Amino acid sequence: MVHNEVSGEKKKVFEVVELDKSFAGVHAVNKFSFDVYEGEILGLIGPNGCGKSTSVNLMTGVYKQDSGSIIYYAADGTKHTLERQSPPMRARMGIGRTFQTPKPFSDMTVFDNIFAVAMLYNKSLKEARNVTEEIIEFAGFRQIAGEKSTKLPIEKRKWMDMTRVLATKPRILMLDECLAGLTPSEIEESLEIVRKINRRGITILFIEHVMSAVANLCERVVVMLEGKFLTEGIPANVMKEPEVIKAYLGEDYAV
Amino acid sequence: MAVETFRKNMLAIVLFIVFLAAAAVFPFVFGNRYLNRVAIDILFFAAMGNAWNIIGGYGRQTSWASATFFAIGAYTSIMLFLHFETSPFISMWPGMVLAVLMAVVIGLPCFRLRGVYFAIATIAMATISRQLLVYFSDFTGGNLGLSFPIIGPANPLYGPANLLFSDFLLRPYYFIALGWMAVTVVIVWVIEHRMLGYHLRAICDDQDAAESLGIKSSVVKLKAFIISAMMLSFTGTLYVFMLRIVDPETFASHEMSVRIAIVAILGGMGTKFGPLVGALVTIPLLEISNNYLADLGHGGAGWVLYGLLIVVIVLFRPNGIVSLFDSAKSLLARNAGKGKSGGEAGGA
Repeated sequence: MVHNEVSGEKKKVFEVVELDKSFAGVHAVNKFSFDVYEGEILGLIGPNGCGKSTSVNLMTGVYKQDSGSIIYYAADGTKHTLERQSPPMRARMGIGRTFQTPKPFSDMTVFDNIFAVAMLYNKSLKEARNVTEEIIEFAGFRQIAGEKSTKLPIEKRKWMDMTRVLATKPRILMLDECLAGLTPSEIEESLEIVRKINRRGITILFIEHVMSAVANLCERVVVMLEGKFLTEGIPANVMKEPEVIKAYLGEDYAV
Repeated sequence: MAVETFRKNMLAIVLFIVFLAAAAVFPFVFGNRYLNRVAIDILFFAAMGNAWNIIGGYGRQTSWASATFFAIGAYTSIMLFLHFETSPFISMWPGMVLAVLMAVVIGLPCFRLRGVYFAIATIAMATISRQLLVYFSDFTGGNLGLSFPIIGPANPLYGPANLLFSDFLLRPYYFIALGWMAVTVVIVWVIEHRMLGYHLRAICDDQDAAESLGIKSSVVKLKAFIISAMMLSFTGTLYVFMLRIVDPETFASHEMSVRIAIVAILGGMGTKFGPLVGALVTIPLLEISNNYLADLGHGGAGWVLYGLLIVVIVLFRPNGIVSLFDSAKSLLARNAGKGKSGGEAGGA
């Protein structure tokens, strides 16, 4: 029970140190270190296949790391070293996530999708129902609450996934490429939802390779390349760095 | 919300109550031992189908060990009665405890894995259990099984305390079966509207999403399997006091497990009334085909017919017979809608 280290003014939510993971010879994540601070929207960017999603899967317990450590600071400041905890255990600690492809409970209505989760985090069914109502209201799902989630268009399915996590009362939400396949106006709306979630006091780890969206949304970005930490900073500066340009566009475009 | 779910299921509730009322009158209308015996089987199989449905239908974890749990209840109760004159109201508890232990032994390792491992493990466990019943013949009577002595009204053990009745028309057992079947429907209904039911459905739809939201899929499945096992074991206790004989072929065979699963699969997996509808169709069909087609000198014909029916239903009604009701309901709703718009057009 070590209390949260305070760095400057900001508390850490995650401290990832020299994380390492290989799959049958592919070194997906290579001694990758970064921190996530409370209340921020942190962008985790990098070209396709650079290990962003693998990092999220390691942090949420889908995979176990080969080496390195993942330290999570709970809301009360308790320090947890994550290694063997299963995904549901981590979810109950306040670590929320969505997947690249939306994963609704297709047999259920939008309301029941959220209610099924809320039941787990509230003492009574009545409380769970109230929390569900609140999330429905928050997400603007009043009209579609009674619809089967399979009948929703792709963007609404993604928004439902994002807001369904709120029923777990998360401390951090990791959004894995939640903009893929959306139109520009849907992207705009998605970013607004992410900001709204962040305003509830929930830290966001935003995994993306759509650069403009990241620049709009994030105060800070961490760039990955080939499983390694490349650089970090505010988006406008990071995107001017020759290494980042090279990583995204290739050798010829380097300034 | 409770009122709302009630209203949504109004038709089903009314139909179920009408069925129960009709079923309560049935043994008085037809004073026929054979018909009552078939009806009792329908009710018990509906109850067991409901038990299977909790893990197999709602949880989509196909169990082929139903007969093992059924046999655990039956053997525990008959052995305790023969040795200690234990009432079934008491012996049902150790039976259920043993069933839970068995469920944990199968479920704990298997629910951590995905895919067919659970189904295979249930088959293995069912085979082992049956062999054990034969092997320990000193206790279990081996292949011949065990049977009750004849206990008439003069015997102090006779009567409701030991579920021993001598009504020629088997009516007391009929009402026990009817009552228990109704209770299983209520159990399934309650599960459906509680966290367990929601989480079973969530896991079926997307296990990764469910786990990422904090739902422990192996725990949820194990809970469902334990409840299912207890219900099957309890049915075994009730059944053996009616049949008054127990043997591995009747109680612990794969054929029995398959029959229990088929009742739910044909009727409608993951539905409250599916197993009852399935039992109403398959059990009489089995009786008819075994008795009448056998008389024609075609002993195997019954099974062929039974198999054919399964193939036809699975092909054309993969969601079971009860899905016919849903189709009919939506068809009616559509026609009602058409009638209305047609009327408006006429008015214009």
